[in-house]
Amino acid sequence: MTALTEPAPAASLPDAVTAAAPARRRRMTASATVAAAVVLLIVLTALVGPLLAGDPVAGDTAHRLLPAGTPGHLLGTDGQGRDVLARLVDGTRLSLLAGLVPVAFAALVGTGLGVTAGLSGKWGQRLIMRTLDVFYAFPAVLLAVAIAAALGSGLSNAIIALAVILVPPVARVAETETRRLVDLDYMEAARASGATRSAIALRQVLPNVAPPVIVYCTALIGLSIVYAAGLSFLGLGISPPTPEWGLMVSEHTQYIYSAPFLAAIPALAILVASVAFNVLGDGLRDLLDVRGEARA
Amino acid sequence: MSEELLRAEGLTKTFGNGVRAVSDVSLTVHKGETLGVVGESGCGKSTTGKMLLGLLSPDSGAVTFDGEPLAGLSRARLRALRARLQVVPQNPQTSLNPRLRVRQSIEFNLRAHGVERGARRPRVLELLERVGLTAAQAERFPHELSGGQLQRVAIARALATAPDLVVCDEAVSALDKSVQAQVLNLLADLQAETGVAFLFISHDLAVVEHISDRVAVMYLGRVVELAPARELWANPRHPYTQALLSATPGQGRERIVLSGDLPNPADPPSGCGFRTRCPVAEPACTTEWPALAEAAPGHRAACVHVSPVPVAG
Amino acid sequence: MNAAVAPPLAVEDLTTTFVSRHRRIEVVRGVSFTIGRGETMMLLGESGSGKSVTARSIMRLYGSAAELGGSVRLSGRELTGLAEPQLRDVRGGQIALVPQDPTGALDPLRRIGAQLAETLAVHGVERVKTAARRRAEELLAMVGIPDPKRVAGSYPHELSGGMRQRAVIAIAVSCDPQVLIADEPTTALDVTVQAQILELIADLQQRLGMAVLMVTHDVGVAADFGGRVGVMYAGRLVEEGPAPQVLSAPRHPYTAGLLESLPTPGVARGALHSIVGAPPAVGAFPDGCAFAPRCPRARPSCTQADPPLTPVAEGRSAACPVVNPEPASVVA
Repeated sequence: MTALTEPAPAASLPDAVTAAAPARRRRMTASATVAAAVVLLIVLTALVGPLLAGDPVAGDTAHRLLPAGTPGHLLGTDGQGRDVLARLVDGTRLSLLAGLVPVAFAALVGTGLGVTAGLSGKWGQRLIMRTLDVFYAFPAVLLAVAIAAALGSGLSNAIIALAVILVPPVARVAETETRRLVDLDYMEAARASGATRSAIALRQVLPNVAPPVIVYCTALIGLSIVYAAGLSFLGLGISPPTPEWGLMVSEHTQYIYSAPFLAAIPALAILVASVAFNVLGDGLRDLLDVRGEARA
Repeated sequence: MSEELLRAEGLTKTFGNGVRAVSDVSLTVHKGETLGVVGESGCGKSTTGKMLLGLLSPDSGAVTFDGEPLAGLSRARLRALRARLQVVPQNPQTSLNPRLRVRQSIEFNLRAHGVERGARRPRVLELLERVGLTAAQAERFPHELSGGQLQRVAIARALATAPDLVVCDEAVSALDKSVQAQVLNLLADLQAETGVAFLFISHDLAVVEHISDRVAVMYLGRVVELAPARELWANPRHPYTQALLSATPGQGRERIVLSGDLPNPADPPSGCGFRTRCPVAEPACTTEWPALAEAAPGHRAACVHVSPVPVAG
Repeated sequence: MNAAVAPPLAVEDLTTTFVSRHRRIEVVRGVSFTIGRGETMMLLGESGSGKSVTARSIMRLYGSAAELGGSVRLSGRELTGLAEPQLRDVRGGQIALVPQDPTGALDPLRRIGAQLAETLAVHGVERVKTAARRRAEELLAMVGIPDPKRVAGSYPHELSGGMRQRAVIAIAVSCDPQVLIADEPTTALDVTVQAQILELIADLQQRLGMAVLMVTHDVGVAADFGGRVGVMYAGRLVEEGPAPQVLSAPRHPYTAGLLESLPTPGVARGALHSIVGAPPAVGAFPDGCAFAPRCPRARPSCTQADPPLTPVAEGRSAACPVVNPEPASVVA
């Protein structure tokens, strides 16, 4: 169909209008604001929650598997009589840590590798990106399990395993964004300025690459929490009795018949945290205007 | 003409896709002059500009800046030289980094040449004032400025390190005419003040004629005519230049409408690349691309119809 | 309806206001003109002047994104209030558009001939497939394409920019429109190709008797193509008249300033006349005469009221009280 005979009835505003309109006030959507509040709540819980909730480790086998709503045990008790709420609150800290630390590491290393690849010539770019592609050949979860298993169980090893699998996707985002910039006029002017490559990378490229990487990594935190929980579930993360959401799901599933909702409680926490980080990532995308103002 | 500043000899560049963008281009820019390079899309004028800036290395041929061949320079020496060899890019919307404030964009160039942190800001404000912008605009982001203002910033940035030569690649083409005139005047004033030389690349012959001392006309990767601007305007010798001039609207010249399109640069015609569209082509034109021959003092054209004046020596 | 007398295109007090959730932006603010059969109107203006939006508003291409006011009559038929299906009939049939970028106007995945044949079928000109194909080749030949058979079987990317624009023009004129709107038809093309396309449009206009509305930012194009010219600034016509007269002896200070800012031989370097400041951004048009803040001849009263377009000579009008000492006496 040609544009001549069948023009889109609701043609978009002409460039002149959109370009001239004063920069739209950037705001987060309502859902992103809610997500931000949830994330804030999770962070606060991780920081001060353990001071308020009871002892997460002390259990009283006389009071095993109390249902939710029992006075003194708002979410009931688990198979060893430990307070589920206290464990959930205390577990927030480690779950969040397992979400944040690998992503922070991947953000730094991935951006470094991606920007370097994007700015190097054909061979440098191929070397870096093809090496990272090797990691793509395996399913991420499987790879994390393999690495964690090889390193042995424990929080730090789980974090290392997750960091390794998160670097390639971050690097890919950074590299794609860098490539987009390389041929733009201001990059040419930067090369012609006589600045060193590192100055160009740091002062011209990074300000453009950082926003999409931040957006992407925010969403990755949710994923990382899920993966960390998965590793704990498989016994490759935190060792009992320290509470962690994934580990709690694993422990609670033994009671799937006697107390069916018990496993759902930490699982729900994982779900809420992961969705919150994802939605927050989307919200940041609008806030940071990641589409690139160069084309505005 | 005064001292030679930049000399390009026999520049040739073929891209990976087989497109020979530039063939055997030789140009000189003298201190304080403006050399215009004019041609249509795909004629190789921008590629030539990039090679003159040392941003692209030629397959063969050499660029010499103030006596130093760019090809032989160490990376550090080339970086230092760049203070004297600057660029104003074409598109106002992309000539500045959208994530940097105007001040940061200019400071970047100052920093690259070792200007102390404390000295940068006063220098930025001085430059902005010189190009007609205010101190308040130093803190703006590019999307808050108009096209004309953006190109003024790009000019200020290019002038930050007091260069000897600035390559203006279609630097005013995207601007409205009433704003374009302001920027052209600004460039002329800056040249009169600082003695900077310009290599002014444009598709707009009227603009090039106005701003340049000498003009090189390019077609299909080659310089087909090179003459003082007024002389070229009054007395074009190459049939392509004649057609280009007549096609520049609003001149009231008798229109020479060329048939057909530009040949595919990956598969150029044999002999003279213009012969497929040339109104005065003859069989001899299929054999080779004529060399630039002197048609009048300082006026050279690459056409068999231009009777060469015997050059002494 | 007496289509025989009514001009192909009559635009009266056209206004275009873009509406979004947060604001209303007036882009075209009361533009009127008529174009007779075989006649040309050039809309000349800089970015943000509303020239392209005027052209597209005439075709009613903005749908619900914009509120349109005033009246547009095509050979006497009022387009205001027509429903979308009827408008689709009108577009490409009685009124056709040649846009600036031929690449965007063609479907990259279909052959040129098929796209032409489809237009013919959609508008009921030629429904039989083989006949449509033949007609498509005739049209391609008519727009000066040397081997129409090959081009009909080509995809857009296989053609040069000039050839693509010719193909787009062939599609535009395929249904024998009364009005051809050409929106910067040569801006994306090289100078030597631009000359060919302008010549082609003039030639087709003569042969088909179309009224042509051409939008351009290029004073040279306006001067060369001739006809009448309407100079636009900040969403209004500020001067209107025969192109040779307007462009050689402008009356409105903006037209004069625009012409003087063109680099012409003989003007010393650095001595180009220029208008101070920049054209106002859409949505930020100054009160009163929008040009007053940049106008060398502005008087205090200029910022009070926006002057109407007023006759200044035979067939010419300008919207400036400074050049028309007695504006009120001659307003139609």
